[in-house]
Amino acid sequence: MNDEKKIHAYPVKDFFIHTITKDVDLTECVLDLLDNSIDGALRVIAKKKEAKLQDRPYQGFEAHIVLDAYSFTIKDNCGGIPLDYAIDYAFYFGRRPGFPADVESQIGIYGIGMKRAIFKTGKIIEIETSTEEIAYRVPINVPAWQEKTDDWDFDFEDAQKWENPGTSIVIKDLNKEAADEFVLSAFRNRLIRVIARDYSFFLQKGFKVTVNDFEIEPYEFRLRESADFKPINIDYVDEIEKNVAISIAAGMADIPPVDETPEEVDKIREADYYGWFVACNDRIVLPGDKSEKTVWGEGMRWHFQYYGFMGIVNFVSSDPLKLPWTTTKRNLHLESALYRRTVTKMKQVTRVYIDYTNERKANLEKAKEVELKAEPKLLSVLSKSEQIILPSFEKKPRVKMANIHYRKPRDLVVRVAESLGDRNMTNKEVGIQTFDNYVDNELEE
Amino acid sequence: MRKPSFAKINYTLRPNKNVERKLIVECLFGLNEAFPIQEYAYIGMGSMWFVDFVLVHKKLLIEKMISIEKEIYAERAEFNKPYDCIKVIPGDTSMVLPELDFESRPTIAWLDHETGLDGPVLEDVRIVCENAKNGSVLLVTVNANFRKLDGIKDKTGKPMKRVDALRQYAGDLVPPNLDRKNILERFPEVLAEILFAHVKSTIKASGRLERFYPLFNIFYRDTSPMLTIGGMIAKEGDKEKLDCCGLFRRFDCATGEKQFTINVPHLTVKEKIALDEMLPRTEFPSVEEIEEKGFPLDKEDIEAYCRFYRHYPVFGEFAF
Repeated sequence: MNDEKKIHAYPVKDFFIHTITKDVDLTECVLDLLDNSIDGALRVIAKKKEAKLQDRPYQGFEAHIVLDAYSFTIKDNCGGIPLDYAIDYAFYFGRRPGFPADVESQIGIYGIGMKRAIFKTGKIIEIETSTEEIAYRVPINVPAWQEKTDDWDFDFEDAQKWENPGTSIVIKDLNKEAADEFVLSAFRNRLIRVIARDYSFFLQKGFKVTVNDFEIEPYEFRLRESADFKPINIDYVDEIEKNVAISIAAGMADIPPVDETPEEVDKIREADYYGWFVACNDRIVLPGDKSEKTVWGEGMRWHFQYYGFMGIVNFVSSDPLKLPWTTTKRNLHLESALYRRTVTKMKQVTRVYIDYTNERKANLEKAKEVELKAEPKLLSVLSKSEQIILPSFEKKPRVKMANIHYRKPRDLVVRVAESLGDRNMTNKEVGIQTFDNYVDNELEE
Repeated sequence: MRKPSFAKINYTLRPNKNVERKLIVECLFGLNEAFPIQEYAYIGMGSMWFVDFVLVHKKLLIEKMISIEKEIYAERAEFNKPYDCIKVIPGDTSMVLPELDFESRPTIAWLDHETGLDGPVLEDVRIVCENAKNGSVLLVTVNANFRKLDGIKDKTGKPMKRVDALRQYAGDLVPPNLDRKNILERFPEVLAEILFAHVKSTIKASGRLERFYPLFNIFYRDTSPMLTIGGMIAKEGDKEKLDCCGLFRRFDCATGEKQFTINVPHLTVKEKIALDEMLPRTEFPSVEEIEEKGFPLDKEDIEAYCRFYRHYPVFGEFAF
């Protein structure tokens, strides 16, 4: 019997190697390591005051990712990890109090991402880094480190200074799961697409990322704008958290789908880009959300009818702990009061758009006509607007409508579409046109 | 009414396709060293001609054979099937495949489509990859004409760029470095990349322990440019058995993921015989040598013929 009356709560390494690594997928691991590079660039930029005012403060900073069945490498020129920072903070499991706040708007804050990412990926790791002042190497042999149950430290050794200070992380002896994914081109292509989207703002500001030598172009968020359509586009400071600036842009990115049946909307590849995007310090934390994490839920469930809607909200603060994100940086701290206040605003905007998608159905021809006139515009050139503005139509004469649903062999539908002049027309359109043809030809006026 | 393709072309008369079938079946025979091919099932799309079925039955001795045929043509296919052991199942491939028995034996499934990625091919491949037993062989043929991507409109009614149209069908399977120019030049290769990527990621995503080991990537053109990719779905242990068969060493057409082109020349019987008399040879006959034989032939045609002479088809008319 233990007289001490203590319940033990020591951490065990296995928890960090095999348990918390289950919370992230491999794409997120790569992104965690990319965050490290961006953190580095931010540290360098923070020192050079003049760079912050430029449009492209990240110009010249690069991260190169190479992955295959045998190894993973990420190498950047983002200034390296200062030794004291490494000894005292970067390799800690968790964030130590007293973490230097000199890095403005930093995006990596919890100190867990890098370790989790490398543990999930492989067993033999070599981190080499060089700043202007010093260069060193941290070799990590995960199984050997795990065996030493009471010693949590990593050893480092001196290295040659680099001409362009930066960091490289090489992971070998990949875990099977990682090796199996890294060989798939579909995995690499998806990774490229996710970086293009979730790091769009960094890439637009000059940061360069390559994956297996392919240079990633930023995804360009565009909303449609015209005399009739104005997306909301506002910047403001939160009423209570005075050092959090929020920008919201939302509206129609694509015209609503012609056909809302599941088989038709399934074909819409852009679906990933519809819904709400939530960013913290320019890093997209939640992409294309259609769930209760943002505005969708009780009374306002996401529906195929809303395909084409896009909203982007960005929280910016020099104190990243104020931002509504979780350790993974790929999820939101949903209970945050700051976030709830923002969601209320987002809901108002969304509601207006939803009403429009209903209203347009009664005036579909007219609606399509004005929608097509609205040109997709980059967020950077979008006019400022306090409200989302959408066209309203005169009420059409009230005619009672009937729905027709029917199923026909797909081959036959395609052939009818072909004979109507466009084999790729939607099933719904085929139905409408053939019906209209019948009305025109067979019914007396 | 538009005619189905079997009514337009007699399948046996497409020399490149003809050669491809023979090359592949010959190569699959090579699997006999380590796999009981005779016990496999063959699933194909035999149309009215069943050319592949005849070959597979004769050369691989397979008796369990299924041909999927569109409902409206199934009755005619039933009449035309050359052997009693062939079962014609009417219906669209994506509807029929999930109902087939992949459990009791490994399969050679040849999804011999005439459509491109716009057709049911990606879905069909998924069904086979999720279900085919360890040791099964998957072959996929698609139309490789990039013009299939033309005229597809986006939601606003504007014609899409070919790259975007391709992404519409194949999403993240499409290589990221495609542009207007290289999509034209490399289309059959790109298409093969997409299909291989699809097969591998589908198998991975289904959680099964098998992996896909590519064997074929064959491009040819009779009327339309066509592409066939293929390989084995196998566990690591069976991968070793596959290696034992030495297909890459023994058969030219087994190139893994590298594209192999079949481009047989059109020759008269007399020319063919003249060439055959000189073969086999380690070095191809020169243009001059052929000239001496009495007829001119391009270097390219000579080489293409010499590569495929054992499989070159001779067509003739005969009276019943």
